[in-house]
Amino acid sequence: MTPPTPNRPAPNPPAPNPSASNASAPGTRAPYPPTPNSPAPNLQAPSPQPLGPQPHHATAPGWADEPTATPQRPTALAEPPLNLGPAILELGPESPGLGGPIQHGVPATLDLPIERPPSWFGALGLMAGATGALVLGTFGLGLALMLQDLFATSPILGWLGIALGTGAGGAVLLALGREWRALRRLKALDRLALELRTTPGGAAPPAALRAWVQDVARRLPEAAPAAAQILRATTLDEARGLLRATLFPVLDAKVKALGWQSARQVFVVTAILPSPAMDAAAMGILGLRLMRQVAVLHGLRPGTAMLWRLLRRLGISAGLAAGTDLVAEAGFEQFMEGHAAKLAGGAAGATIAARRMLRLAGASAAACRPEGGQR
Amino acid sequence: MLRLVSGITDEAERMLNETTLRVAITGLSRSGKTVFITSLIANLMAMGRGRQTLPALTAQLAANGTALRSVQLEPAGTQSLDWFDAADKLRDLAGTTPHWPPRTSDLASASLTLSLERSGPARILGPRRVRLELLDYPGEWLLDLPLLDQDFAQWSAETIALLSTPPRLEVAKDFLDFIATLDAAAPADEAVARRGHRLYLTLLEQARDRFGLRWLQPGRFLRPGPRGESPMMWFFPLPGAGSAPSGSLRDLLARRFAAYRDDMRQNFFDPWFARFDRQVVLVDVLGALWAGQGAFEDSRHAVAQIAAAYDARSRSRWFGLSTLKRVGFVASKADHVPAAQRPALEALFASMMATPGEDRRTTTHRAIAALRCTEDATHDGLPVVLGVPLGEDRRRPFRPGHIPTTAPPAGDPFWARPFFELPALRPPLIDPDGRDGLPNLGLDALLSWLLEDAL
Repeated sequence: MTPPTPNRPAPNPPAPNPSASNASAPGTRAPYPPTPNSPAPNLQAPSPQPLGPQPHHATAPGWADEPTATPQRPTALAEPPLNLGPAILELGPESPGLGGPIQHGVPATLDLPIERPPSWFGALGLMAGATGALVLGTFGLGLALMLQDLFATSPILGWLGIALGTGAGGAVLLALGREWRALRRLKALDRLALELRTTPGGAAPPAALRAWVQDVARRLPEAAPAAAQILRATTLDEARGLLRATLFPVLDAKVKALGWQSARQVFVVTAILPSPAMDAAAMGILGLRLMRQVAVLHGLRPGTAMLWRLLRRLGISAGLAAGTDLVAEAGFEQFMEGHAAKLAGGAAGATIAARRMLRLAGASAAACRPEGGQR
Repeated sequence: MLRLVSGITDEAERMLNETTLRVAITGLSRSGKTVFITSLIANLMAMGRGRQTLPALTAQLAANGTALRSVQLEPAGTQSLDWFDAADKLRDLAGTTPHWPPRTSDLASASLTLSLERSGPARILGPRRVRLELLDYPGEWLLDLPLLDQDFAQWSAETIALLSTPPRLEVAKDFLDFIATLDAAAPADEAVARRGHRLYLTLLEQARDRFGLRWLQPGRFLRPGPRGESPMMWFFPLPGAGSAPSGSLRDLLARRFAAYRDDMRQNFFDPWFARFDRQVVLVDVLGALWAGQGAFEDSRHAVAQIAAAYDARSRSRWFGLSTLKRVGFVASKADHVPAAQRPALEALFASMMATPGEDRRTTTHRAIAALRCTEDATHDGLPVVLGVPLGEDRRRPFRPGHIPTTAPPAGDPFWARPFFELPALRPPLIDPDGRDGLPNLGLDALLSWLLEDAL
């Protein structure tokens, strides 16, 4: 090859120590970047050449028992000679095991941002939990004291008291079990939502999605043909498309029917009831019933805690995420209210209340779907 | 009424929440545009699914007080262009016999929507969306961009001057001999025009294959596209001063040149290259460096010309303001060089792309690999990369040799080396569904820089 010329720049001039040009001290630096594949036996980790003066213990002045100085931290790799050109090389015979395609490591997992309820929801939950514990504890202690008194009066009364307490406790446990199952179902839906979010569109649909679709079809017979199509999907993209094109329209029709039913009831109730406070209470009860019906339609189990969580979700999605939508809706409602008031007098408020029930049905359905809700 | 309100609301929401960035992925042929776009899409999609595929971009988002909620590849819609099928390209790269996507033969586009969290009280407005519009096209066609401002006489004079210098002279002899025999006022003849066109085309092909040259105009001669070759392309450079006499061969060639130029303008540049917000200029620096001084200078010239033409097209007609806010010059295929030599490669690339005047745009020069096919190691005490040559099944060390930090001057012994073709390495093992994105070098930092002010 041709010799180097003076006008050729050399970014890393060779170190004064000639042995450094063949830097091969193993183990001084990990291979870059670290990969799961093991390095070749004859391919050492890139080993830097020392740039500074090297210690010469044999000749340099100093105490003989002086501890050996820590070697200077290497900072540069051996540069190829200027006259060295590109080439594909052969591995030596000492690395027979090396081979196979290159495989890099799997990237780390990121925490996907999720909508978190405002902190006052958490504070309310804590208060509710504390109140519940207080009430249950008081009842338990009261029961124990009552049983003690009953046994003191008569063993028969005592045993009757125990039977009563066991029955009541069993009923509470049963209720808690139901709540737990309902929450577990909601969590499964959340897991499914996360899985759908993290699975590439070209991959096979997750088994949890198939299970959810089958469950919905079992509860809603008219959704069975749509479910059969979705179960035949080979990719997640296809399954997503079929969900939107076949299953969700069937569910939407049902949700709309439920919404209209509640809207009619709300209309009648709010038009009849004389007090705004009673209006609000009736709307609350009917609204919760509607949410429960929609949740059950989407494969969830009824439960108070589950409903509470759904409510929190609606609080986020309706209150925060859909800001611009809300502005438009509010404007539209204001417009409607103005005109409706002229036409129907007191029934205007009832119209708006009924409309809100329809919106609640839609929002609840979105929160109960693995693809639709803001999680 | 409700539909009107809904339409106005949607539009207002879009104005408030959506930013569209048209990103030009520019590069000469074989510079890696298709793989770059595939990697960009696959990595952003994987990041949207919660994979740390682009750490620098994640850090940038965190620094801006936001986070990525999701990334959607927009559906094809009703566009007349081909749809850039990243999933198909991924299957090519990850199949049982992995291979690189074939040469791009037509325009294809893709749009990604990045959904970003808002922080603070602005959360009530919902997530912000950044749309990235990407365009893939044959790199050869880009060479016609500077042609738009030329006429036949100018183009012929420049081309023939270029053909008369090495290394083109070696393959242009037949063509130059042919035009030297033609009379300046020779009558138009179809057979002569076709023969001249064939000779010119042959010389372009030889310049590309033997010397690795890239500045080969007109670009569609080498890659005609789906419509194939048409009569307007049957021309070749022919010198001559002044206007060509009517009915002469030069007149025929000039009319064909004008028709070709106008066709490229109407069907390619005006609709698709009218306005860009960001630009990535990909350059196969290593391929050019190892192909010799001619190819290196040729690539430098081609990229400079194209970048200047882009800059001119991105300027407003009235005020001369550029919409092109950031231009990233990228030396592609940096995985062929071990980590220790990548700074030298970046320095070489920066010196290669340096423009004499002050560049008003914000630019950067980086060496990246959109899909990393190698691992670093040392062999005989020298840094090498390990890769599996395409068609083989065992890893082999690849030694890039000395990489200068500035372009060696003419006559330097560096250029006396024989032509060395950049080895095609087998893509690494990747998930065919793109679950983990595509391993890359420096793509995250480039994207982070490119989109910094839009995130």
